[in-house]
Amino acid sequence: MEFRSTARRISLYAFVLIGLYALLAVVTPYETVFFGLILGTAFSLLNLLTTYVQVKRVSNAVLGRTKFAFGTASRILTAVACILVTVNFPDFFNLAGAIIGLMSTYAIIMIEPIFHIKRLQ
Amino acid sequence: MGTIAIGVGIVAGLAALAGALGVAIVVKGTLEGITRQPELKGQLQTVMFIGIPLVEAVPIIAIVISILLYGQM
Repeated sequence: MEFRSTARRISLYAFVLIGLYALLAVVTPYETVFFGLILGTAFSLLNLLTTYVQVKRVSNAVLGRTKFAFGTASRILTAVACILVTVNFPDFFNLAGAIIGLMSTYAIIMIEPIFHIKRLQ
Repeated sequence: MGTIAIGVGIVAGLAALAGALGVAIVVKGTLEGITRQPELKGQLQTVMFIGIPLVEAVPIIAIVISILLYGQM
């Protein structure tokens, strides 16, 4: 199923990104920036997961299996939680890093189709 | 102080409005497509899965900006 494989691929890229940030946090002296990036990417991955669940539920609702879903509010609250954690612990997490990390899965979604141009043609 | 409070309200409110309208348009199109052609469900789900985050990215940034403005009050 194409939908499921797309979600898996994007989440795999996000996990690879988190691992890369963890490696860079150990190697480079900019620890707080990379910890912020890791936190933001983790919350972004959570957003992606909630999107996946919501899409599944909404498309099943057409077939008559209606279920309750939070939708956009849950994702906005996730972003709010990420920023609140970052603001409350400035010694550990960099704010700019966390905001860039929050947008990381969206960036992956925008960049990812470039690798499939040949298949799409 | 007062102007920042008004700014926070306007930014958060417009972000919520934009996010709601955008996601509603995406979901409406997907559901209509699935209703018309149930065999295309997988492809339409993929389009919706990619479309919703692209719509929501800017409202989420706007909410973050409103939180940062609220912290400066």
